[in-house]
Amino acid sequence: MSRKLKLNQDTVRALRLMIVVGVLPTLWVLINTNFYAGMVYLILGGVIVLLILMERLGVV
Amino acid sequence: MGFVGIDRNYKQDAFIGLTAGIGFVVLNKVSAQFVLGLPAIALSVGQLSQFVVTAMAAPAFEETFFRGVLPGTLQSLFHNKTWWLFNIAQATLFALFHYAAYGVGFQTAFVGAFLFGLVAGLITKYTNSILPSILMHSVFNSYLWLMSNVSFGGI
Repeated sequence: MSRKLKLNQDTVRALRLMIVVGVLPTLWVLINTNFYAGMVYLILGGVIVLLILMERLGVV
Repeated sequence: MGFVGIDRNYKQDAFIGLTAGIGFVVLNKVSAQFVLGLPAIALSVGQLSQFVVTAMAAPAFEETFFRGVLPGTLQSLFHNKTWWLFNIAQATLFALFHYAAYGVGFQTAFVGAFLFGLVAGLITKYTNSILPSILMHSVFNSYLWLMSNVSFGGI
């Protein structure tokens, strides 16, 4: 299972960038405020992770 | 199938992305039709928060999803290798996302966002990286944010 879930370097770089410039700033803004767009992005981030996991597990 | 990430040609990809972003700014100057809907954030949250979401978070999430993982998933689901069909599909979904999530007008979504999605998909395919499209999106959104938030004293 762990070998199957191993991601390639290009994907890891993209996810790292998404976390640094996407997830963390969104959380910061969400903590300071309360807005609809922040929730949209967190849902989108969840879908991205889900699709990557599904691909690695061979579901899609 | 495969997801597109960020490859090792950072500098070349960054240059392509920044240049394409400036290209869209010029296109916006030529015709005001070429805009992207900005995230629906209340003015009360402050300009810094708006900028963080508009210029950083939105490009990172949207490009990773629409250019990074969506084409690969569609290709896998439909067992079809015709790339341009997936590019049109992801650009259409990108335009629909801007229409539904940001509440922009239909014309804004299906002229500006659709064209932007097609170009971003094309650049992603030829560079094999989502970095150029993230930067392109970021440059264009920063410009639109600047235009809607900052007064230039008559300029």
